[in-house]
Order: sequence, then C-alpha cells, then structure tokens
Amino acid sequence: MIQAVYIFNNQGKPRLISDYRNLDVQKSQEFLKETYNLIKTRKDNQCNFIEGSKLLGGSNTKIIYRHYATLYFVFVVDSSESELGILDLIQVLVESLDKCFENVCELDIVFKCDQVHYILNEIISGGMVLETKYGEVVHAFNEQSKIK
Amino acid sequence: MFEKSLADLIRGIRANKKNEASFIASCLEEITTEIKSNDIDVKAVALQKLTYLNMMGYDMTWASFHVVEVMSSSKFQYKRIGYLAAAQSFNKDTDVLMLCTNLIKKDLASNKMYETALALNGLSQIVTPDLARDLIDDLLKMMNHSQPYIRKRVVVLLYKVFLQYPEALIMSYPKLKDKLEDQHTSVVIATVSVICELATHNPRNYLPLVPQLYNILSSSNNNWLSIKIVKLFALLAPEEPRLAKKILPVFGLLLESTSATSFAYEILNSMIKSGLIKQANQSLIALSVEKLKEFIVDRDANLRYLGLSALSELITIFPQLVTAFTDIILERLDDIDLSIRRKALDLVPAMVTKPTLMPIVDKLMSYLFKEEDEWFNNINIFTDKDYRNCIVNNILTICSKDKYANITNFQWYIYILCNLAFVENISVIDSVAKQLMDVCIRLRDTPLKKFFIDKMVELLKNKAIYEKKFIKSGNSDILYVAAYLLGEYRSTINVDNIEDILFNLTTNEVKELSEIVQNSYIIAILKIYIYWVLKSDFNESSIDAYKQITTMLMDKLQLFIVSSDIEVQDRANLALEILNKIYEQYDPINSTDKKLIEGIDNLFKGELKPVAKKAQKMVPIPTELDLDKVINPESQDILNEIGTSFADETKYFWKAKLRAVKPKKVIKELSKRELEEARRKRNQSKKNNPFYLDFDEDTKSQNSFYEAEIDNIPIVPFTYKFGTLIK
Repeated sequence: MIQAVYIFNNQGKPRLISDYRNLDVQKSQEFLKETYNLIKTRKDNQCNFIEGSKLLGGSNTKIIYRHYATLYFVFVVDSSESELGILDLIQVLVESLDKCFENVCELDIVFKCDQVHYILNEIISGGMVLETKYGEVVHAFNEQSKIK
Repeated sequence: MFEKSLADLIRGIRANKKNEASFIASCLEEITTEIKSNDIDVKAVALQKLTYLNMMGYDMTWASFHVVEVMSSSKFQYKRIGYLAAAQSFNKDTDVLMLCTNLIKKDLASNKMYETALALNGLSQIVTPDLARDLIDDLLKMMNHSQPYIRKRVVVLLYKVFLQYPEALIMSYPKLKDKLEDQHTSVVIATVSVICELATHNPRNYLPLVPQLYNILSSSNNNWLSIKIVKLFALLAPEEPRLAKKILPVFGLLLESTSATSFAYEILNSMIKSGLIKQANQSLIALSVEKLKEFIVDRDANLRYLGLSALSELITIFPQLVTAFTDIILERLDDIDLSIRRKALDLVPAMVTKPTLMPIVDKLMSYLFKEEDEWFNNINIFTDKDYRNCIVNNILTICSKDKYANITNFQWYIYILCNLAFVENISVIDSVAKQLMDVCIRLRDTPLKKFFIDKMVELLKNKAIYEKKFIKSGNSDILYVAAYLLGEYRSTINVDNIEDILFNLTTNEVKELSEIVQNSYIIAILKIYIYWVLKSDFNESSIDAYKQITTMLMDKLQLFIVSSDIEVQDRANLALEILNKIYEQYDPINSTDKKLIEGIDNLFKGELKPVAKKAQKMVPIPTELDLDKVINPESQDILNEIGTSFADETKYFWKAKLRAVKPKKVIKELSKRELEEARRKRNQSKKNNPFYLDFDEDTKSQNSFYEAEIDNIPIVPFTYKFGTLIK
C-alpha cells in the first residue's frame, strides 16, 4: 500500500501532503521533515529509493521519489509495492498535472493545491492505486471541474 | 466585509515571508468567524483555506463539525472541499463521524456519478468499524454499478473496509472474485491489488484463484497489472509446492520476451524473494543471472541499486553464484551513487576467497586514503562516517573470517591493521586493537612475531600517530596495543633496540595521549627496562649507558606522576619506586647476583595464549571429584543462620517502608533569631569537624593545616630489601 504522498520544493516547503495513515498534524509534519532531510542531500544521478528510515516505519518502508525542476514528488510505500512501478506512477501523476494545468510549474501547484489533491484522488484512493493511465485521470478531473 | 479567497491567502503568505506566523494567526482568526457563517459560500471557502493551512502544520480538528456542514452542501464543488477536508483531518476518534453515516449513504446513492465517487474516496480515508458495518450493504450493491469508474473505486475501498470490519470479507468475497473477470482493466487492476494486499495477511485463502490469475497474466498488456500478479504469485507459491512447476516456465518466457524493465525486474525479484528460484531449471537460473548482470551494469542508477538488492538475496540461496558477479560488484564499489556503493560493499564478504582477499582489501583500503578532491563533485565521501566505518568493518570482517582462514600473508595483514590506525575522520580503534592483539597472540612463528614486534616499534616511533586529529578521534590509542605487546613480547625485541624504544616511550608527546595509553606505557617501560638490565652484561665502559638510561627513565616518569589521572599517577609512582630501589641497591658490574632483577622480572612472567571458546569442555572432569560430598558438616547450620538473618532483614526493610510513608513533618517558619542560632551552631560543629575545610579568613590563620611547611616534614630513609621479599 501507499502510505503517503508528498510534494515539496527544493527548500522542503510542503506543496501537498496526502497521508493515508490518518496521522495527526504534528506527526505528519515530522514525517515530512524526516523525508525531506533524507532526500535533500541526494544528487540527481543517485538512485530514487531510500530504505530503512526508522521514523517512517523501518525496513518495511521505502521512500521512492522523483525530482522535477524545483519539486520533489515523493511516495512512501510498504513492501507490497513495486519500486519501478511506483516510479512509473509518479510519472503518471506528473503527466496528469501537466495536462490538467497546461505546462505545470511550481506556482500552479502552490495556488491550485486543492486541485492537485483532486487529481491525486483519481490515481490513489486511501492508499490503494486506482488508475495508472493518465488519460483517464485527466478526463475524470476535467469532467468534475465542469460541474457547477 | 470582504473575505479572502484561497489564492488571496496564499498570496498573502508569500508576501509576508518575514512575519508569516503572525499573518497566518490573523487569517486563522478570520477563518474561525467565517467558518461559522450562515452563508455556505463563505463557509466553504473558509474551510478550503483551513485545509491549506493544515498542510502547513496548523491544526484543524476543531472544525470537524463545519467539515460535515460543507460535506452536506448540495453544490458539488463545495462538497468536494468538504470531503477533502474530512479525508485530511478526520480520524477514528472524530466524534462527528456518527453524523456522517446518513450523509455518506445519501451521496453513495446519488444519481450523479462524481458525487458517488467523492463519497467513496472520502470513505476510503475515514472508514471506521461502525461506518463499515452500516455501509457494507450499499457497497456490495454498488459492485455491479454500471460505470467502471465507480466499480473500481468500490473494489479498492473494500480493502479498507475489511481492515476495519473483517466480517465484510466473507460477505463480499464471491463478488470480489467475479471482479477478476470484469471487462474493464482498471477494475481488474483494482481487484488484483486488493487480493494482493489480502494475500500478504493470509495467502492460503487465495490459492483457488490461481487459474484465473494465470489467465489474466498471460493476456495482460498492462504493466502495473502484470507486476501485481507476479507479486501475488510470489506470495502464493510458498503455500502450494505444485505451483512452482506451473508458473516458472511462464516466468521464464515473460522474462525473456518482455521489453518492460520494471516487469522483468519484478519477475526476477519475486522468484528470488519467494524462493521459487530454488526449483528453477539451469537455463532459467542462467537467464536470471544474465538479466541481473544487465541490471547491475545499467546506466540507470535505480536498476543498478535494485539489481544489487536482488543479488544479495539470490546469493543467500545460491552462494556459489556470487563468483559470476565478482567483477561487476567490485566495479560498483566505485559507483557515483553512495547508496549503490553501500549495497555493493554489503556483498563483498560473500565473495571473498583466498586468492581474491588481498586485491579486494587493497582496493577497500584505497577508498579510505584517497584525497577529498578525488571523489566526485559535491558529495564529500571523505567525511561520510557511515560509509567509512562500513569499509573498515568490512575489511576486518572478511580478514578475520573463519579465524583468518583466507589470509595467506600475515605480514601484509599486520601492515593493513597498522595502517587502519591512520584512517581519518572516524574512530576505528576498538575493533582494530582487538584484532591486532588477537593476531599477535595467535602467532607461533618466531620470525613473523619478530616482524610484528618490529612493526609495533615502528608505530611507536611514527610521529604522525601523535597528531591532534588522531588523538581526538581516539585512533592514537593504538599505541596502547603497541606498548602492551612490546612489553609482553619483550624477549622478541633486539636488545640493541631497547634503549631506543625506552626513549620513545618517554617522549614529551606521551602526556598528550589518553590515560589508557599512558598506563600501558608505564608498565611497558618497567617490563622492557627490567628485561634489558637482566639481559645486558655491563662492564666498565657500558656502565654509563646503564646509569644514563636509568636516570633518564626516573626523570621522565615525572611526566606521568603529574598526570591528572589517578591511575596513571599510581602506576608511575610504583614504577619510579622500583627504579629507585634498583638504582640504589643493584650494582650491574660487580654483582653476580641478579636475583633482585630476576625477582621483578618474575612478576611479569607467563605467556599469553589464545583460548578457544569451547576449551572448558575439553578439560576432563577429575574422577575423584564428588560434587555431592559434604565439605563442611556444619554448613547446614550456617546456612540456616543466614536464612533467619535474611528474614530479619526483610522485616527491617518492610518496617522502613512503612516509616517512609508517614506524613512529612510540617516545616515551621523560623524566626530571625532562631535562624541565627541555627547558623551559629552549624558553624561551631563545622569547626570541630575534621572533615570540613574551613575557608573563612579569620579561621585560616589559626589553622596550621594551611601553612605549608613541607620543608619541615622529616624525611625518613626507607630501606626495604627487595631481595628478601623474593625468595
């Protein structure tokens, strides 16, 4: 299962937190900070997996992330998810954002934080993967935006 | 009053970077009033803003009632805000959840598909045992919803429902099974995902699904779906031995034909993790090895990392396979990605053999002594303590494996161990010292021991180890081992070198070293000096050397006597006293009688030998030993006595406990006079008490204790014949 999805920028400022474990707000911030600290020192030519953070859940928990320009897209997952599968899923999320916002940049995500949540909700529901095709995601999102 | 929109809020926060906290505090105040508004437009926007602030770490649990209000709005966009807020802030203890059952029921039954979807998505985050029980019937009906968009959401939600309300699994299992045949791939994906999660808890129950899953796998053209099914098979295979035979050929074919790397990796990983590969035939194993090699040398760091992860599990199953990977693992020790290096490093112990040990260790050593700039640009590996410790531990582990079985050249290993003391930025001394001692004690070969001792002398003389950085990191404590071994194996030292060694043991740098080293130095000085006096035949011409060395040592021992460490002082005094006696009473030229010196040397006799862990078992039990024999006939009485006194003691403790719980005396306020009286009494008793040092000005002059008249203390010559002691 997916335990959390974070989007934060190079300075660690949160742009989206979607935690599927019903954490309280302090814990959630703490986890975000830990994740950021683990990721920030890594270079782009390093692999996109981090294992073994005790705070986030020990050996059963993996951080899988991608870095696009100023933003990090981070998935925290347990061992039942495939590492490369999740990397593809992050790609699906980013492509969907790009299609929905037309050339997405950090500012879009800052100002349309709620919309980003709605897009993510088309891909993941309660930590379970719902859709892996960005076409479907974009279609469903656009349809719902039209509703008055 | 004009309310801020979400965009206004975000703009405001960005404009007030300097006083963000106070700006947000004022916004929160506005939100608190806006959210209570009767106007749903105002309320919804306020909630939207609050949800945003929640992401930044501000609490919103207080607004749960307003969340429900917005959720029940008839406007879709507001409903959306409400459900998002609920998903983000509700937990199982949220009291308003009880109010939600009917609201969610209504939304689930809505004729607008996206409203239903909102409720399903919200429920996946906030479902509780109560909600699950109340809503399961509605959900089961919806599994046959006309829209696949809804069906997939219901299926995925079911897993969360099962977690809260396990009875639901039995109710919905037949329908769930049917969903594996759904016409829409996304529903099938959702179903497989749910079964995959369920199988992690209880794989046996899902074995009957194998034929269906098998069909889906062979016809699937969705990467995610294929990966999930392979993962599912990995969970099921250990439960059913016959499965391997059926599934392995399929895995082989897919592995060979697939162009999707993620799928190929998952097949490999699943075969290895589940142990399925144990039953694979030679060609499939060969193919797996080939694929794994491709991953480990791939340009993509992710594949290299995952490849090494899978390999480390593979060689626990087939240890012999590691030889095929030796070269590429060694290459990965130079990877640009530190986490990949660590993975490769973990694999090193498994692949070391007699012939490869030396080159591998030499390579590892080279990482420890490279210059900073030689490492890749921004990452300073030179100071990465974890990584460096990992290398050192790796070297020590692979060399000492099976009692140094893989080491063919001990001179080389002694050299490596000595060099490890010069590793910068980390403290390695504990493990290195242990091995140095261990190796030295195990050496039986005299020339090798001589080499070892020479190496220790070299270490002692090497000024580099006295540098601040090594003292600070504790690595200069290796001198403790050097001094100890020199003292212990003094008979191996060339007598001509002894003066030089003694000189090096008493240089001025010594006082910078830690107490452990200093202690070891003092004893080493004593041992080596005594040995030297014993072995040398002094005559008229060499007597000066004897005098010179002895006085030099007596003089230098002062270095230790002024140490702040009490043990160093103690030992230094002891050594100095012994030297004094020898100097006074021993005449190296005329005395044919070396008893005094031999006597002291005897104190240090006895060879240190390694003891095997099971050594005690090898000692036969003496036949005359009778453990049941009564040694002391009166012992029973004594034991009884102890028993009763112990009983008394427990009684005493019991009483003490009772006393302790008595209420404390009420402290009464003292008047000024009483205070003064008490103070005077205390001072008086202080004065009469010899354990108090009183620093009061007027008492000082009266007290002769403070007037240092050390010169007046009579010195009594201390004569004690050591010779009489040792006979």
